[in-house]
Amino acid sequence: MAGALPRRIIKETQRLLADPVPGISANPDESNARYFHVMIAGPDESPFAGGVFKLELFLPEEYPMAAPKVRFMTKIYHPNIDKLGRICLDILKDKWSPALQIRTVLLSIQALLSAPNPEDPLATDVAEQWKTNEAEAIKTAKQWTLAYAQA
Amino acid sequence: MLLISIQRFIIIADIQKLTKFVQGKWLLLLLSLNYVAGYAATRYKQKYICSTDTCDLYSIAFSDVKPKSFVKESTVCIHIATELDYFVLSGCVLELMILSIAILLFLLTFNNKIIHTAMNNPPQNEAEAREKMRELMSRPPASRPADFVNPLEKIEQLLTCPICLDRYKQPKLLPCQHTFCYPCLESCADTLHRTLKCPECRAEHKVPYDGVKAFQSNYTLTGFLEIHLQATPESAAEIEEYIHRYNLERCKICDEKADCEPCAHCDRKACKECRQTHMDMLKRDMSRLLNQVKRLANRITEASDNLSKGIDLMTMNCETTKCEVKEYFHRYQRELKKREDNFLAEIDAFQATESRLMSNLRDVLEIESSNMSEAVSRLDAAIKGECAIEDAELVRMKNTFTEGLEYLRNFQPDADELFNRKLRFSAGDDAAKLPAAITTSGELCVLVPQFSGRYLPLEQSYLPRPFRLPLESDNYRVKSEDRQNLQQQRESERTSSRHSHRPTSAVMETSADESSLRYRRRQQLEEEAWNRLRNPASQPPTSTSPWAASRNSERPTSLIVEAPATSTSTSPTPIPAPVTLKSRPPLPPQQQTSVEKPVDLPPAPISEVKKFLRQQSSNDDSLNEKVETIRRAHQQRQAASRAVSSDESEGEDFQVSPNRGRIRIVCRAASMTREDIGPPVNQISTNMDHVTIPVTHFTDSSTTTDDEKEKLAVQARQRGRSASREAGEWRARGRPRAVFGRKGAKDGEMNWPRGICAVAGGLVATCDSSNHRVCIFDSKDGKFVRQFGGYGSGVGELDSAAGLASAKLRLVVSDRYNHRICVFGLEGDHLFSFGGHGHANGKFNNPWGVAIDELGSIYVADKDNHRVQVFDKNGQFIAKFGSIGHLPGQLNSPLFIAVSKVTHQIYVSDSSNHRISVFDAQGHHLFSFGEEGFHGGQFKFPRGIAIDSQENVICADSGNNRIQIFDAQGQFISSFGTWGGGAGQLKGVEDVCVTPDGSIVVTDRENHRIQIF
Repeated sequence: MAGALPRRIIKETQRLLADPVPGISANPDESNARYFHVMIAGPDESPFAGGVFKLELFLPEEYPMAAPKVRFMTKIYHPNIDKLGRICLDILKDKWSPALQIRTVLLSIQALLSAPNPEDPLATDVAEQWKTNEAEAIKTAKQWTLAYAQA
Repeated sequence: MLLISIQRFIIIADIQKLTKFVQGKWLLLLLSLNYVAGYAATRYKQKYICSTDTCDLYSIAFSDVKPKSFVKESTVCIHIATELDYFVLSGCVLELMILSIAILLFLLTFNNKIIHTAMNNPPQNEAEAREKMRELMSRPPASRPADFVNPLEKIEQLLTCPICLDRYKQPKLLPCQHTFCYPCLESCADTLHRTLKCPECRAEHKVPYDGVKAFQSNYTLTGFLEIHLQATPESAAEIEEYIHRYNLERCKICDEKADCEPCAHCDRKACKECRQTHMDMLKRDMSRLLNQVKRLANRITEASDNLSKGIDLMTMNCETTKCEVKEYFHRYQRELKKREDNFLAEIDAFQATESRLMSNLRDVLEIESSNMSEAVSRLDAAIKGECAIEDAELVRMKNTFTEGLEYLRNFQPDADELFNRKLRFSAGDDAAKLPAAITTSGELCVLVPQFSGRYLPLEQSYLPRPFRLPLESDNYRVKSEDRQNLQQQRESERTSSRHSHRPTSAVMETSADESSLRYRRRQQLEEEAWNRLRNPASQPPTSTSPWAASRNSERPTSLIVEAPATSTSTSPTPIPAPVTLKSRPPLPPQQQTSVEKPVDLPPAPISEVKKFLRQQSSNDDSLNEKVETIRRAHQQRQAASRAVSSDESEGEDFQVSPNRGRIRIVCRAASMTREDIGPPVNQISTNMDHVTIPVTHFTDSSTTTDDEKEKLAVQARQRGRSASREAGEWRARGRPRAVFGRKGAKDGEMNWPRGICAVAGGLVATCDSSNHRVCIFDSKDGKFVRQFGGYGSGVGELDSAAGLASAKLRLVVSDRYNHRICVFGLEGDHLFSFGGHGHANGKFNNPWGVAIDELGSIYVADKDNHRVQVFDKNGQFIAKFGSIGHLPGQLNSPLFIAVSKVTHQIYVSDSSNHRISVFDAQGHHLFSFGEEGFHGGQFKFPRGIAIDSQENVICADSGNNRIQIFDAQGQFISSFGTWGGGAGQLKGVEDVCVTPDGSIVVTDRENHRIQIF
């Protein structure tokens, strides 16, 4: 990547390392300071509890004027996350604001795990299942968590 | 100089013994340091602190204890020491001096620092705290304790642009009040649409024509940004201090941030000042409490002092009383002796004259007989012819003999008259009176009317009670009548258990529940006291025991049977016409019966002795009764005591109760209780000279008084009426003619009778206040006649009526809690009423006593308005007088009124001033009499007043449970009555009235009865 790393990214990185959000770790890639390896622990009292989900986060050139790109690396059964790990989250799209930070984005994702929103689905089949048979869906999510999201 | 001498010493030491060096070095150093310190002290004028501090500093330094904060200083010292080492070893005086000066200078350059550190160095724990804070600040915020905030960090955050996360550069304020850097905003703005979405709140703003830079600059932030905050070693401490203070807890009391610790006083976290204040407060409170305790502690010592004084006084009093008794009896013995001598002299005289008479007669008869025998022998001889007798002589002799024969035939000397003449001593009608009078004569009176009250103060000091509570004795004053009435119901339920220790009627219960314990304790104490008063070893005789009531009703009939039987037995040889020698020696003033000495003293049968002994023991019955009533209150004790009492009473007929040498202590008029409770045998002595008291309840139709008794009673009454108003006569009034009524709500029963008045037709009417009605009784025998009223505030209804007056076929009743006066006809027909609550003219506040004068004017004691109001016979307001106060003419809770028919003076019982105030008909104060106390002429909450036909003022001295009689000028004449439940005893006497036949009728409020004296 061309150009010096903006001060903002440096500061955010420092702060993320010095004062990590509980249940979330984000480490910049050694070769690319704009690429972060993220681990989010499944929130308690969610079907994802006990799982540790790997994500990748990339800060585009326009950052902070453009939203970071975030993707689940770990398979997850979630109506707002598709098979490829893409996340349906408004702040990652049209609702992005430069006042948001990596920290807030990751917190939002953690919150999304706690509160799946099948009304705005990305994985339609999952969302359908979630809407019609929530118990079954939660069961599946737990199974998936057990199957794929163990550290 | 010092320095030099020391140096010299060191040099000598150096020369002689190197071993002393160390010591010398020490001394020198310390002295030098002292010098330094002294210097510093004069400079800083903090001599003591500096010198000690520095000295300590250096001594510590030398002993190689090196606290962290003193590291620099200690090195200095060590340096000095080494210098000294060198110097001393060199032994050069000059060098030494130079060096020492050098050292001094060296030290002086440091002294500032030294003193500064010595004074300002925070204590070690503070340093630790600072270290800890530094550590906390260095930590990332998430891992810090929740309550720890670094204000600097917060400020820094506020100065940071959320976009570039750097300090604001040219901060611009958007219309939504969010601030961002101008460059950041520039890159945010949508240049195409000339809009700007606020990165914080997503509010869309139009970018001004001039572009983003036209947005308002945030000058406040700019101002903040211009503060150049840079931590220097000096400011670091201040900043740390600031942060430390910033993170301090707020004091829960003054709301200032400070080092807070829980306050022992209020259990809140508070700063030092607040805690100190609280402790000061607490100390002040404590000292106040302590003062109170100290002040009150005197009471105990005073009480004990008073007790010991009291013991002395009592001993003295008893001694004098003994002397008086001795004196008294000595006098009567003399009287008796005189009387005896009189009798003996009379007998001697009689004997002398009679014997002279008889011997004369005998002589005459002897002469006659010798003459006769001479004549007979002469005639014999003549007839036989032994001697010559002339015929004329013979004829003369025949005539003589014929006459002689006639004489002899007629000579029938009255044997009874001449030979059988007997002298007999007879005691007369009231033969039995004397022993009775002797046994009953005199009485020991304890001159404290409230008997049980005596033990109150003592008991009070025994019992721990909160300091703020006033002593109960003070409470007596405070308790108002109103309260009394409010608690009436409750109290009256308890009366039976309590009446034995009620000191005065005015003594009201404190709220019954909380004090019940105290009462129980008091009862115990009282009982102990009573037992002590009597023979401690002796079981209280219990002839009064539970069935006394039933005995009461039987008594009169059994008396009648008993009395004649015993009277015959005591005078064994009744002689129809005994020759009695009545001499009239001066009668003993106290004994109103004429004393006659029996020649043949009654054989003093054992039964008689028994009688006296019985009587003596029964004299204790007034005590027994009290003890008994106390006992009744103790349910658990009752069983045991009953067992004892039944034992005793079984044996009482045969048992000559051993004379225990007790003194009989009875209160005035208490002797009547003997009649109530004593065994029938007593009656022989008492029934003759005492008027029997028909103690009747209306239901006991069987209790008819014997005719004879009735007659006696009437006689006694007549005697009493006709008697002059001597104190002794009044004293005789202490025996009630009739007692009737008891607690209850049925006909003839009463619940707190208050006012009383005589009603035309030989009736008395009383306000049965807690039954809210007026009851009318026959004034002769107390027979219930009728009643009217009833609770309520409507027409003809009453609410705790108190006072009552009657005149001209009308009854005026003060309807107390309705604050009005009701006028009834004698049959209870409601005529009209007037008044109402208030203090205007014609309005009342708790009207109590009422009175009517000859004209029909109605006088009302308007108690809580502290005045008397006068109305005409139709209830129209005429006048008023009196106001609250204790000055002459002022009133404090006037309770009852009486109006003199002759002088038209108005007598008002000025209850809370403990006096009777007298006003003329116009309401001008004439005079007052009485004051608080229990002696004759003193009052304790006087209540009812009545005026008799002789213009004597009869006053119900409620607190002293007695009736006092004064003349019209207020001079004390006499009093009778005492506390108790027996006949003639009173409990909270409320009102008095005088019937047309002169009897005094009294409402015995707390005994719920009426007594007629």
